[in-house]
Amino acid sequence: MTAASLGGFALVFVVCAWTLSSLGGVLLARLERRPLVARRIAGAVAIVPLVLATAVTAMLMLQSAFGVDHCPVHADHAHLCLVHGTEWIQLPWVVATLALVGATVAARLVLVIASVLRSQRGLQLLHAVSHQVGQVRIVETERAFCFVAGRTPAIYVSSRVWDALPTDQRTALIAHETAHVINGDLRMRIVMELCLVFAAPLVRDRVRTTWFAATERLCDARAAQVSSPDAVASAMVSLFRLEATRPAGSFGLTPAQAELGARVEAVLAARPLGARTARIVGRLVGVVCVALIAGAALLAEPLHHAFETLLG
Amino acid sequence: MRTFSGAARVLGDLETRVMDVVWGEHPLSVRAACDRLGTNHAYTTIMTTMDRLHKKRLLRRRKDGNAFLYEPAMDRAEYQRRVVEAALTPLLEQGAAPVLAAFIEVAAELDEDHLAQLEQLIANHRRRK
Repeated sequence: MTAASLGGFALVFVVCAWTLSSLGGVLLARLERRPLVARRIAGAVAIVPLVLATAVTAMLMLQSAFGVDHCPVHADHAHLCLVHGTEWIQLPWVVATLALVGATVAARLVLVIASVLRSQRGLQLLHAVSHQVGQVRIVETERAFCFVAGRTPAIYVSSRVWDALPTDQRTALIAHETAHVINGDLRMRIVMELCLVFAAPLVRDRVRTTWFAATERLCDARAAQVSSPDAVASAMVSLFRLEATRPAGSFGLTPAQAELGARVEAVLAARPLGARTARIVGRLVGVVCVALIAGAALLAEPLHHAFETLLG
Repeated sequence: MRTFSGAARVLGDLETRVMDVVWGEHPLSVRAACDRLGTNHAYTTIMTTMDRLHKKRLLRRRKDGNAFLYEPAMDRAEYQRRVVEAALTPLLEQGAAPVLAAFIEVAAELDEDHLAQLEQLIANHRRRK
């Protein structure tokens, strides 16, 4: 086996991952917005293509290593073979595709890792200059923010927000951030970011946007149960107003006033979260994944030849 | 009054104690800083620490005979503001921070009419209860 003979399998992985990811992206755009369902589907679109592409590629490699010698059967195109499948690397379009995808994946990975490391450094500093007040860590600053972060999650609130909000809105704020901790959103977000490194172009942002929006609405709903829908909605508007009216010299964040309106309306309307549908979707995704992997294992040889014929 | 004790971990214990002394009284020579800090630290240790703080641009110094006189380059509030900004920039900048979940993402622009509508919506909801 040579590194060159892996070229064909790398191409299969890329084709599978990006095709499935693109299909997922299309699905995501058309499916409903109930937060639990949207979150489950977004998670699946991030993770499932990677799992299936890895499984299919592994099946084909195993088939090539332990299956029948298929090479003489197809003399007119490149072979997916660990022993003598080196023709792929001589095809210019394959090299160009792999180089492009490889560079994209590497760049995304570097950005994610750099972002995590920079954020960790920022968190260390923030932890150092903040002080614990009850369940939150207060940061003395004129800026307005509230977020939960850290390996041992802590809720960071700026003194400007803390001092400005009445008690019921503070409770709503803490309940919302605590819901993130209970849901395991911070860990899930890292997993998603790493999986999305392999996602097809354009799908990455769509998955992120859907997942973030669904997650925030879910936490809004949980916070509304602990405090009240009015308090959650008021806290959102108050925080938005505080930050937006901050003196000049700010750094820009995602314009989100439309999303703010949608969240306020959703929490006041107490719309259903879609728990039952989300459970069904979760099971369905699991069953489809298992069925596809089993199918790939059973049909490894025809699948192998199909990929050779299509790509070689 | 909220304290700023957490800065000890940003600067290191001795650096923080030296900054506390200089923030409290300035300008100070190394010898005077040693006296204010007590007898636990060697003169050369404090001299090195103050030199390091000068290189970090937290202390300014000027010659006074054979010695340097030190004074803070910024007051305590300004120092804290800078540390907080340094901490927040990587956390809140766009596309960053996969390690946190913010309560709400906000924009610099503000549509006052829209916010007023939302506040009216909340008020109506509260009245209906």
